[in-house]
Amino acid sequence: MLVLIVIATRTIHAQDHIITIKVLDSVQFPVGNATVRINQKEKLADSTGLFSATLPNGKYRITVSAVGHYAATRHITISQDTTIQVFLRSRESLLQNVVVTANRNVLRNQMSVHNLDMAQIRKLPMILGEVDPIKTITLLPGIKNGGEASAGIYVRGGGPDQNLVLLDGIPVYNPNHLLGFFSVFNGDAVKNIEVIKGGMPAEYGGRLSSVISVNTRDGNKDSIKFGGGIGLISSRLSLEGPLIKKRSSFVISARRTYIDQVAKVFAPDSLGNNGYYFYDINAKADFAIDDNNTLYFTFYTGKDNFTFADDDNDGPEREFNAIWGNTILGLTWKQQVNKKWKHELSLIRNDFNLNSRVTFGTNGFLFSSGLTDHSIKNDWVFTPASWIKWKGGLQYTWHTFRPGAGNSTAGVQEFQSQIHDQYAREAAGYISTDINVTTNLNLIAGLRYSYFNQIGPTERIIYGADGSPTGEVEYYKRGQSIARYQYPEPRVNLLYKLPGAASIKLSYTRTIQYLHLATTSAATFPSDLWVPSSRVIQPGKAEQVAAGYFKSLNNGKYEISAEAYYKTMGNQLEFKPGARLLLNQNIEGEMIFGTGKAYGLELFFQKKTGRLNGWIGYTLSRAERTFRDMNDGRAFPYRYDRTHDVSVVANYDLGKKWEASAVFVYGTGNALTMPTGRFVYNLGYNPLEREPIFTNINQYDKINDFRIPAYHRMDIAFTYTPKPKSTKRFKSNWVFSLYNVYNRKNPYFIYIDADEDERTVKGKQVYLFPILPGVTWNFKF
Amino acid sequence: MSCERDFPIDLKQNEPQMIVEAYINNELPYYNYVILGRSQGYYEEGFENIPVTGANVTITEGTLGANNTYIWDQGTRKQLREGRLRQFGNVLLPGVYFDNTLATNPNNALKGTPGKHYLLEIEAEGKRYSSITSLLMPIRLDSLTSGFHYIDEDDDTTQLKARLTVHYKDPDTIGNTQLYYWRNQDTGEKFGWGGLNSNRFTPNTDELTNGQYMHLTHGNGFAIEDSVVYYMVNVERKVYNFWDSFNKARSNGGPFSTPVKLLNTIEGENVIGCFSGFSISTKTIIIK
Repeated sequence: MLVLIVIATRTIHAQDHIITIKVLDSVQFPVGNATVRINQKEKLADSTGLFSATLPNGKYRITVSAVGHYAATRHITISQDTTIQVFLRSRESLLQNVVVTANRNVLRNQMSVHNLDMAQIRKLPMILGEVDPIKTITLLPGIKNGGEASAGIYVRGGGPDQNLVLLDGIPVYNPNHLLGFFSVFNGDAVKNIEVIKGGMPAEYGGRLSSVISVNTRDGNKDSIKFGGGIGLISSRLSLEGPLIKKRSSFVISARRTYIDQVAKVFAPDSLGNNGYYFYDINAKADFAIDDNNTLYFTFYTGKDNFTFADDDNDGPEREFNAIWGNTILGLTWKQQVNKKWKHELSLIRNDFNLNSRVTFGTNGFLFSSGLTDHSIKNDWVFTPASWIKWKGGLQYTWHTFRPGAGNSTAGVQEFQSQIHDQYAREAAGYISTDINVTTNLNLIAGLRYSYFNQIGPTERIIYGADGSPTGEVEYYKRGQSIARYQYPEPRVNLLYKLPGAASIKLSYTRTIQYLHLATTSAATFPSDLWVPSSRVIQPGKAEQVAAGYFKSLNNGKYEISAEAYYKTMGNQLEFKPGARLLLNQNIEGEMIFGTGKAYGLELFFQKKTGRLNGWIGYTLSRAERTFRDMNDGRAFPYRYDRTHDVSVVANYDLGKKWEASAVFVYGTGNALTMPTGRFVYNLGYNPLEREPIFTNINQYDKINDFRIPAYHRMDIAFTYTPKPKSTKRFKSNWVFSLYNVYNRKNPYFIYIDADEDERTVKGKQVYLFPILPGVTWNFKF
Repeated sequence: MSCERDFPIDLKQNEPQMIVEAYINNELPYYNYVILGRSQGYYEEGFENIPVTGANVTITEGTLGANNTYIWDQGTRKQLREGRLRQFGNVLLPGVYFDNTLATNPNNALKGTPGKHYLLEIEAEGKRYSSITSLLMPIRLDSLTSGFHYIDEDDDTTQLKARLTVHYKDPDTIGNTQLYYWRNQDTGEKFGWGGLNSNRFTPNTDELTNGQYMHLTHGNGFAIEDSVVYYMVNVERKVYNFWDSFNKARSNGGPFSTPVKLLNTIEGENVIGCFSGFSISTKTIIIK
């Protein structure tokens, strides 16, 4: 309604023309997120380098600037619809400042967004020299990891399955390689990464907490190029070039770890039958049919292979082998229909698969579990005038869930078990508008409507309240509806510009999540199982309000911001302690449901230019959960509740060939449940030795009532470019890094060891990474 | 790549809890007993049971009436007392309660009957506790076989071992749950359910295998010529759930442990434990 009134009160200019600007770099790569200044008014181009505005007849001075590039200025006269290309020269020989696109946060309508460029991410110190975009975003306020070597990302108190991780717009179900040491995103293939932690726009949905959007880069359209890097534990290689000169390009990047191969040579004995490696391949191709139509093809595949064998003679022989990975295929057609209409159509196939084999003595099981999505997505952008933009679209996904199948292997367990596949369709439609209500007030208002339907064929054993089967089995025919949900999801963002390069922003978001991740371990190990909403499992719901103040100082040299948020979450899922997740027909019976609450304050200070640049982020927050069946129904801290969180990122230009960077992080320790007592059970008596036989059992009281010590660490890195001004085709640099400079023993976990033979009870702490050096050599030619 | 060090962990402590371990079965009169104990602070010394002595403990047999109420036969009420038994080496085990008729007239001692229900009542230190369990019909054990031989390489010895396979038909009704115990040369003269060997790792509900003919091989190794007395124990679901939670909690000492609370079946204030109705079928085999 508000929208209609606003439109009605505006006068429409009869002489308006559309100007479209394509922002490209010197090798015709699109430059994303450039700032376009038209006669002193600043606006943003999109992430694909496109900008359009509606302007009346007249003369204009247009200046385009972007991070890592020199600004370019054009003077043009507009008397008809116009398309121009603006080429920006890269500042390659200069220091590329690590600037978060928060630099434009003062003007950007959307709130709670951070954008990091790959060139910036590469400068930061990384464990063992492995560049990882996903790891880097946890240095931003409100976005946390779970601790040392933890895979999960926790945005504003939400769970790790509540982030919509997108690779070129395609959801990625398991964004991590083994135990979260590395994400599946190869730094060579990535152009930038954007995180939306609140005020989620209406075009995104299906997850409660955030959107983590990773965009891969286009290939070089002029000539074939090689690039790569050699590191301590992995190597990367990429190849790119034109398919058709100036019109079509491709890029393929691959990497593989070789810890297993190195260990085979240097420590064959300790390696035994254990082994681990992963590889991944990213590919992208683009084809410009004409000036207005472009096709994009995105492909990703990755595999992790993990083998663990325990030949210890104390117990039965144990062997575990798991192979898992994602495969993603996407085809997108982008069309500039006319001056006012833009349109995008995507076809997507997404696959997550796990195959594992466990043998324990003679007991052997094969598990396979997975998920396949087929999706179609259609988005429209309509820009009738410079002060208003409409977006609308439809999305449809067909989900196939394979919750697991098991067969005994060792030839001794002569029975079979099978858990039935499940199917669901998920659909959503949205419409949103972005309006400059006045010169100082901007409104983005959107409504998303989502729908989820679990359907047959499947069969379902009915369980009683005590978790025991009632003896009834329900059968569903193909296409028969089992459970159906639908919800409106309103999204509102308000920006009000204040005098003196400052602004305030407000947002309200409602989000719904229909898929749940079943995992009990903190590290997302391949026991991960995605399960659909069903009769028993209700969709997750979240509502968030956020308010922020943004200010630019000293002509944009510094920027400060403060954001406060309050979020409530419904239908949050936990598993009963000791729940069996794999091969469990009654997985729903192992689940319990509750609510969550999170609130906090995020402060961000950034220095964007100069020899010394970087940022400081601080978050004060609280995240809690309430479950009727846990903690006697009282609220308890979320495991990853982090009262204080600090990140400091600094870069320093040491001269022509050397650059230095440092990262410091501090966070309150995770909340844990620790035993409050113990007793013995399952007693027996050995009359010969006159000794009792017993088993020790721990007692627990309040949940997450114990805090492990705070996590803090500092890393540094030096980048050495031997010939920074070389005009030769071959370019290379070295990145030397030190992880955990002051050798802090950060707890990976703590536990209490009650040794019945030694008759001692002792607290123990396990820590993973001491001070660790890393070196990587990067090249391109 | 990981390292470990001692680390002071300051724990909170809760009030000591009453611990009840009680059994009624249809085959082994000496294995019908009740053990009462108390929990302790985590850093307190000692690992043995802290006995609760001098309690008044009774078990009464009953049937289930038409309207799902229990009818307790007061004539069957047996008093269980602490005492000495030859099986315990004639030492007094405080906190262990059994039918003292066992010492004088074992044939007349407390014994369960399949299809009946049992009421446990405890009065200890001024507080009352109770629990009800049922004895299901035993599952027919068709046969035991041995096979799947392997060489067990211990530190200094190698020995040919075999595995035990049990053959039975899972009843057609879904929801049957079993526990498996045996006595062999490893267990020797050890007394009590905690003294027998058991397979804790095989899933023993029939949700995925309902009504199938089962050939269940235990992973445990048995020496050739070993004589094994095998007990297949059919239990009601709440008893299975308790022992399932116990198995999860017991294998939980390690660093990746998640807090598991035992699924208590005892009524009363601040108490944990289970009154286990064990319906046993048994067979003996010489391992070949």
